Amino acid sequence: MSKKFRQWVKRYQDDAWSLARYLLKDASEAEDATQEAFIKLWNQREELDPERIKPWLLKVTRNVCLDRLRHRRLTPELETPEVHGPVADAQRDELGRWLKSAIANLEEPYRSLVVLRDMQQHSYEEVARITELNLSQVKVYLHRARKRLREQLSEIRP
Amino acid sequence: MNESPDTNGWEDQIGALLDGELTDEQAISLRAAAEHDPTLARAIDGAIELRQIMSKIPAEPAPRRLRKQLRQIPRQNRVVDRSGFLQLRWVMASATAAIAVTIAISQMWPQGPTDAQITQARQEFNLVLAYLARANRKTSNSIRLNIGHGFAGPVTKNTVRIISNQFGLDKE
Repeated sequence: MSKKFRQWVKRYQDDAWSLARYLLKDASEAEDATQEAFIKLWNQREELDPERIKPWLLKVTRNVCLDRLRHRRLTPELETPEVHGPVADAQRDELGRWLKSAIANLEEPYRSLVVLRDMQQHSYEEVARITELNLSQVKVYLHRARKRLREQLSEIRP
Repeated sequence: MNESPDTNGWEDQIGALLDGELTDEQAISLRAAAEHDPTLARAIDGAIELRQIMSKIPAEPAPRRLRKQLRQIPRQNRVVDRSGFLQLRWVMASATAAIAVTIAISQMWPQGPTDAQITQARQEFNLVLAYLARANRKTSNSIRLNIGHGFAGPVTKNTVRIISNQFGLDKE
C-alpha cells in the first residue's frame, strides 16, 4: 500500500501544493497544510475509493487550508506581504504574475474555483466534489470570479 | 462584486465558449450578438485573453523538501501489522500450552519420570523452543520494520536466554 501511496504522492502533490499555496499565500504554511492532507490520506487509505483519491485529497487540502484561514482570522497576525496592486504589476509587464496575485486576492470560494478549474483544469464535476458545492453553484461562482478578473484586467489594459 | 447588467445574461455562454462546450449554432449566435454589442465583444475578448494568460502561468511544483516529507509519511505513520501479531500470539499460545502439558504430564508421576520420559520431554521442549525462536524472529523482524534495529536484538536474545536459563538447556 505504501507503494500505491507513493504513486498518489507523485501524481497529486503538485496540485495539492499549488491549491494550498493560492489559498494560504504562505509557502511554509502551504507545505504544512499539504503534508497534513497527505497524512489524512495515508490514515484513511483503506476506506477510500481509489478512483476518487484526487478529489478527496484536494477537498481535504482545501478544508485544511480554510481551517487555517479561519484560525488566522481569530489570531492577530501580520498582513501577508504578497498583495500587489494590479496596475503596479502590469507596469512591470508581468501579466502572469499580476494574475496570480489577482487570483490569490479573490475571496472564497472564487479563489478555489479558479485555481481548480482554470489553472489545474479539473472537470466541473470534480470541482463540485472538491468544493462541496453543486454544479450550478460552481458555474455561477466561477462566472463571477472570471468576470471580476476580467474587470481587473481591463483596468490595467484599457 | 460589480455586476455589469450588460453581460450577465451572456456569462454562461462566454464560459461555455471558452470550455468548448457551445454547439456551433450557439457559438455563431454568440459571435453575432457580439458584433452588435461592444460590451459583450469586450467581455469575450477579455475572457479569451484571461484564459491565454492563465495557460501561460507555469505550474508551481511542490518544493523538494515537501516532496521528501510526503514520501516519508508511510514510514513515520506505519501501524504495526495486527494480523502478523495475531499469528504470533497463536504461536506463543501453542508453545505455552505445550509447556503446560509437559509440566502436567511430568507431575502425574510422583515417583519421578523414567529416562525415556525425560528424553521425550526434552525433545518436546526443544520443539517448543524452536517455535519460540521462530516466533521471536518474526517479532524481531516486525519490530525492526516498525521501530528500527535498536530493539530487535535484545528481544530475541533475552527471550531465548531467559527460557534457556529456566530449564538449564544452555548447559547441555
